[in-house]
Amino acid sequence: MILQGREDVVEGSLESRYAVEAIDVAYGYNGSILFDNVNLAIEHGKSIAIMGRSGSGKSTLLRIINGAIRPSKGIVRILGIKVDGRYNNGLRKKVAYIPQSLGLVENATVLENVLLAKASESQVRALLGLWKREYIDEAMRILKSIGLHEKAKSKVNRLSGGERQRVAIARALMQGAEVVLADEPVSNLDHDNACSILDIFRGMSKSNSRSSIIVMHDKALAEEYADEAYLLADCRLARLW
Amino acid sequence: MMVWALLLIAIILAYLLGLIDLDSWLKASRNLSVFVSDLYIRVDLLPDALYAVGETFIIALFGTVVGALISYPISALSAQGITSRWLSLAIRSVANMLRTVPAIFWGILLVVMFGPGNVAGAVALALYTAGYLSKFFYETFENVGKEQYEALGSLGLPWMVMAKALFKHTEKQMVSHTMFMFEYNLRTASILGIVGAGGIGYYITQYVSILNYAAAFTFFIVILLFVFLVDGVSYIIRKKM
Repeated sequence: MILQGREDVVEGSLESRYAVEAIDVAYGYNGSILFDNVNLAIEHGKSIAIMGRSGSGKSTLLRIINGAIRPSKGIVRILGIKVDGRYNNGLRKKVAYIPQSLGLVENATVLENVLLAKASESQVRALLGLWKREYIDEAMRILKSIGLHEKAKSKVNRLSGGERQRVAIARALMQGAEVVLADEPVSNLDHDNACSILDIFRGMSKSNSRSSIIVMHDKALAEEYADEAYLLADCRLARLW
Repeated sequence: MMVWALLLIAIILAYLLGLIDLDSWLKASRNLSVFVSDLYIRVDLLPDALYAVGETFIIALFGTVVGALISYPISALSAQGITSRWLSLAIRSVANMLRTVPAIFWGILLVVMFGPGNVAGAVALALYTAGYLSKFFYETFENVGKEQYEALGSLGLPWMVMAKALFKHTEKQMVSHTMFMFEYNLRTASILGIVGAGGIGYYITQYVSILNYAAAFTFFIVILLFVFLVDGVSYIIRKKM
């Protein structure tokens, strides 16, 4: 087992064939099965949509991939490294998780939220709020790329839904994540805003080989933006295209 | 049925306590009329009363500020989700101990240590506040959704930075709890003088002991108006947050 673990660490890089793999994953609680026999193999740079009715387990599957919940059965690998709920900080930084609530620090500014992605690299500076100039420049560059640089000093609780979503994406970009997991990022947005957010996700995948797994409801949007789409229904994950 | 049962219990207990005794009620009424006839404001003592209110204010403010500072690290280490379960339980026990001992007992202990005066009162309130605010703060942290923890956790934040982010996220509740504690401390600082721990209570106790009810009443009215004023200002600030 130890040897296998070491092998996994060596494997854990962009050299790994798949960005995300789920092998025969199942999850259930109180004797009931939420889903079973889930298999996924997502290549680098792909945008994946996972659809399904409310309560079908889409968010749970995303949280399992993020390592927040252990599956009842099966294995999840990210960049070739097995996710077992205690994966190292190096891999942790490679995965960005954007929950439905976005996970932003509400009373902090847009810039502070984005810079938080670099906190583990400069703990004392993060505590004192004295960020390196290079990090601030990088954050501003990212904010500019998604059209939020003029709101860098605004508190996130004063932003619109679409703008808040962009801050969460900017933080994922700042993190340098190779895999972005987003739980219903466009469900509360109007069509134009939803398209603009999905454009950012798609741009992220195409230009930086980042993979994204997006939970969404709207099939028309998924057809337009996702390279692959899956439907989670009746405890099974079926590929749509 | 319930009301009749409660009424019966109340009558039995009143009898056991000697409250069903017409003579003692008549005597109490006579004492009250004498006491009330002595209640008037002594204008000549108003400067002294205002000085005592100032002392009480400083004791309460010191207790709140220092208690809040102590409770920051305690609550960050007590909140499950930031630290391990065992460390959280151990630190919570310390906070529980600080909170379980009433402020007046802390006052007695500190009067023994420092001697009578404001220092004992201020330190007593700081310890008590640390216990109470720690509980308020870590419960606030734990009420933050699990998605928030997962999103921040996926940034690989060290616990101190995680705690800082959560303090910022819950800033309004934290300020509200701290202001509530200040109001509470102002009332408590008013009675700590009974055990010699400074504040306006000390003067009121002294005047009552020499049956100078008018002087005690003057001090009492001044602190009462001041507490109303602070409550009002605090309410307005919290409402505007």
